[in-house]
Amino acid sequence: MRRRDPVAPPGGPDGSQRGGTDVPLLEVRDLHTRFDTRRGTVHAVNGVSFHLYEGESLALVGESGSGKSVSALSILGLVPPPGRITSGEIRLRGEDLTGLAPAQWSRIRGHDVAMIFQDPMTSLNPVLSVGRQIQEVLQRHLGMDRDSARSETIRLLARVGIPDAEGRHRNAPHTFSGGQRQRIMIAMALACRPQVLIADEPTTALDVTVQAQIVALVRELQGELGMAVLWITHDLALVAGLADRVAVLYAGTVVEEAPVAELFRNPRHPYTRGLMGALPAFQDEIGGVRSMEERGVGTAGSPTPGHSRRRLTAVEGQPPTLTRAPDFCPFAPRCGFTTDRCRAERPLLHPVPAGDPSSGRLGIHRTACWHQDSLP
Amino acid sequence: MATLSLGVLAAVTLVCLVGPWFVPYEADAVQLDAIRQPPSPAHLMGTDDLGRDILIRVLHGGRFSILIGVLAAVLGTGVGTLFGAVAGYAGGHIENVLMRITDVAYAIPTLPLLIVLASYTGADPVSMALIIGGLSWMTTARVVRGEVLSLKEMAFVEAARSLGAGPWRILTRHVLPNALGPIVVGATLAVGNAIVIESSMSFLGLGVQPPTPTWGNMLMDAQSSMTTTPWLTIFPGVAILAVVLAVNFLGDGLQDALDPRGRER
Repeated sequence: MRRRDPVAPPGGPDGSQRGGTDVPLLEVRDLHTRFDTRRGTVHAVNGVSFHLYEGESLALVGESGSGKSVSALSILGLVPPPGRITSGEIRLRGEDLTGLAPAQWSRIRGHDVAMIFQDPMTSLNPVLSVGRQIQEVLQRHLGMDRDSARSETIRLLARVGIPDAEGRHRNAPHTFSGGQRQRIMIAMALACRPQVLIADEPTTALDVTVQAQIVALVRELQGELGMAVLWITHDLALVAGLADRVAVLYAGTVVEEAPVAELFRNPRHPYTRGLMGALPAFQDEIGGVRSMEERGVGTAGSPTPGHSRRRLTAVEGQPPTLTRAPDFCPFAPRCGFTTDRCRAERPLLHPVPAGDPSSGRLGIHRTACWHQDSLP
Repeated sequence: MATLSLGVLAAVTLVCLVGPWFVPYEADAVQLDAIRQPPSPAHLMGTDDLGRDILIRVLHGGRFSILIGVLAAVLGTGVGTLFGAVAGYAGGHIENVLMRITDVAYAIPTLPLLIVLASYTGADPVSMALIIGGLSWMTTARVVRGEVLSLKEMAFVEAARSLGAGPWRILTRHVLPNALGPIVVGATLAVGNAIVIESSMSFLGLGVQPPTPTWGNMLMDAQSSMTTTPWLTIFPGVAILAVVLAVNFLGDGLQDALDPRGRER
């Protein structure tokens, strides 16, 4: 899905106006998640930090293996073995979740934090009716009896746009289309009105027209329930229409974090720029972002004048294998601006001084690059 | 086919249960003046060497054979499912220990062990069922473990987990129901198998002891006179054949019925 106007996040809550407490609803601080395999330790997440305020939406963007999904699963305590969280904090309303016992995690999952997944075709149990699956969540977390859980289920299904919810809640998942199944997953995830919804690329498996409907539905329900949404995606173009803020992940760390408009207007990390250079027909819409060749990143052929014929540029090279924790800039081997310092020291997230002056807590623009001020 | 099979099974079971009250003979009543009679209005299935009525013996034998078959299958499937499910879902050391136990149990030759056990416990029908069931759970355990291993990686299991379901609930509510097809098919096959094993044991003289009739020991009694008095062989033989076949067809049918994708057809 591509929005015509990627700068303005359409509708939805405007985080800067939301008053109340300044304690983030969800705060992930210096999270490290590792997988101890026979062939060595994989450092999937290396010090990821981000925060999410009530009603806000944050997008975690990154390519495969950047640690975005593992970060999301860490929040739910669902990192598959042999993976484990080795250090860091995950605070929900100030309470650290990392030390919780499995049974306590279970009470939070689906109740306070819920998740919707990539593939709606396989995310529903094929032998249970969709109504039963939603009912179970309600009965387990909210202690509803069977009858009230059933009527609430029908209400939820109708709310997410399943026609004839009354009659169809008894049907098995295979009788629904992909888009409808994703709607059902959303109904299930939102059954207990969680404060945080993690949406792990919920539209990748769907048709473009259906994608837009699903995104619209989630945004609508977000406004209705006042929940925060953490979008996980590899699609930078999609982000523009989804999120208030964006965190770009690379090799298990956040390399840049900014409000969505600011990020597209003024990307300060070479990797972020590389991602934007790989998007078709993007730089013109956001105005002022030049192609990668002009920036000296990448080595693809000469730039063609005129945005519509611009060559797409790939980010050269491969992401690093994460068998050891990077103690230098993980992007250095692929970057066009690498200096000795990049190969010796790991840059941490640092505020961009020339960031969006409208500021507020949404305005914070930070990037992890030694050369953020000297980039062309 | 499955419906027909279910009908046949229900009919056979019902007839075996209530039929004996309508037959004017006792199962072990010896009538020396009416031995080896072919089927006739008085003895619908004829009589054996001791003048016992074959019909009443087939009916009584059916009670025991079906009891043995069902009990052994339920026991074997239950133990096997529990083993396989826990092993497959838990993984790690638990899985290793459970599956090695299964391998060892598999490696022991069944028939000699059956014989030894039967000689200790005596050969009443319930003991036979327990022994047969206790020695036939390994295949189910392996099949179920395999199913669970693949099912526990499915996206809907992760989705259920993300909504706060605990391990036991996931296993019983989300994983096992999806493995029900193979489990039920295995169970129905086990019914037929148990009936046949009991027959073999009886054939060797180690099964349920005469005069208590089972289809198996009736067949054994009849083997020497198969050519001269074929009705002694035919009726219990046909009974075994019909029940085992019906059970297997029923298993097939159940597998289709349990798969929701097939339900609308």
